[in-house]
Amino acid sequence: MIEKLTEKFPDAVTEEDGLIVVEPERIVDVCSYLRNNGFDFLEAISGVDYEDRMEVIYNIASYTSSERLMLTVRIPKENPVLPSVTGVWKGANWHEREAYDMFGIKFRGHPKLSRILLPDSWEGHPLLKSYPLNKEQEVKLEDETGELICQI
Amino acid sequence: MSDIRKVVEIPINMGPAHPATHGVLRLKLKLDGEIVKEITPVIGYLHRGIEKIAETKTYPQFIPYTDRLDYVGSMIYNHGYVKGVEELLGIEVPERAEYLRVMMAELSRIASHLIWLSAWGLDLGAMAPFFYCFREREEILNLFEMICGARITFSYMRIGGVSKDMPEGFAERLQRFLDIFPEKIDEYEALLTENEIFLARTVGIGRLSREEAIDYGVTGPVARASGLNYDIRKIEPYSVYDRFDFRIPVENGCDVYSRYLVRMEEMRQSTRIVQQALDGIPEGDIMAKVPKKIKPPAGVVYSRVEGSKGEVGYLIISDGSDKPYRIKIRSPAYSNLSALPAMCKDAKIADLVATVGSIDICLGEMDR
Repeated sequence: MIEKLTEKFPDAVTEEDGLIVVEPERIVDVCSYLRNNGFDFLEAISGVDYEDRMEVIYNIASYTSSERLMLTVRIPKENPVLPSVTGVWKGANWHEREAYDMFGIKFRGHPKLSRILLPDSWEGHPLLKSYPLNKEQEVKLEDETGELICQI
Repeated sequence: MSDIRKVVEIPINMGPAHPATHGVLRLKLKLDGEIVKEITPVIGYLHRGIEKIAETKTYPQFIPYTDRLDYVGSMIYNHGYVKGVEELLGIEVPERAEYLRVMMAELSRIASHLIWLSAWGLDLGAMAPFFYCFREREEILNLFEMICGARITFSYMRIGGVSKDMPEGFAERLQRFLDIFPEKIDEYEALLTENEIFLARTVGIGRLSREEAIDYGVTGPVARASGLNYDIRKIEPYSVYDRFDFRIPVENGCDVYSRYLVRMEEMRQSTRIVQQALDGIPEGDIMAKVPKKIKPPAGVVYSRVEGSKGEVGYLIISDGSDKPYRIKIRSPAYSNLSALPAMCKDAKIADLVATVGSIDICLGEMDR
């Protein structure tokens, strides 16, 4: 499959020591191609914070065979934006929300990119290496109208 | 005369502390009378930052945290993690340890399904299965206590093997359990499978089609009840699963009842696996030779195992130091629950309760 991908998307997919690196702007094309060619199962989307870049890793497998792939997308730290794959898999919704919550990665075209594990009023993205571990925060829980329910 | 039947959508908040949400799940509902018009799951109330903690611990130190993800089937979470680290290190695990791992993982699966059946029965108003299931689960926990000293948070699997071998009397006691357990499953089924009230509450409820299941990345019994023959133990056999004779139950009903049927059959198949493993367990070491300080070479690994709720995955990134650079935990119930709005299109609120229960969520692994 890796050869097929590099052949089909010569300008978007490259192989670097066992990793499949995809250009951020082409991720939707690559994912739809994979989904239509046997790789129909999106296992997970994970963010990774490196010193000089951010990475988004897509684990893609198949419901009918043991084949699986790991796609890596590299995006700059100062502007971590890439297209959303929610149009390819609906299940990508929560995985992308999690990557946004934990890393601040923005997925363009996501139906409702909001925090998922942390409260909406949380400041910062905890899985970034630069996140201050002992910073205390006030947590506010608000209802739809913005009325304060409780504060911890 | 004013129209008293004017439709008003009422927002209702269900949970996070509600007996039918199995933990601290919150559901924001919009109701039209009894019909659920809109449903938004809100999670994160049990978020403990386990993925962040992982970056501050050495590889062996993280094992106890994996127990606290899915606290009703934690042996399998141990397994997925240690398997990933072993792949990074390139360690061969002794056969006896693999057999012990499989036995414990399958017992854990049975215990998890028993908890699911009892709690879900309560959701539907069936009180009796609760007592029946906890009777057998107690014996499984006693067996776990015998082999590793803990009943819930085991940390039994270690990088390179398992922590303890079977103590004296363990094999006999396990054999006694395996002898009686199939009859006990018959007992549960006698209570529910053909029960008219139970059928009325479950058949055709919470439908998730095969295509939707694929779209949402649903795994485990929920996927198998939607006609997907997908089980990692068969599709990509790990450990020693390829040596055992067992069947993956698949149903095509796509509803809550099919999920029930799949799980009941899975308990029977797990019993068969444990029996075969107990009969065929070889003599030998239970730990491989592992360096004192565990420092995997830099690299990325995605280790997946079949949990009681679906695919459990660990994405482990090593930078060559003794602490993981990043660990991402792929939780099965997280993906399965994201399909809840698709399952509850225009459902009645009582059916919503049955559907949430049928997914078998565990907030510990979803919120991490």
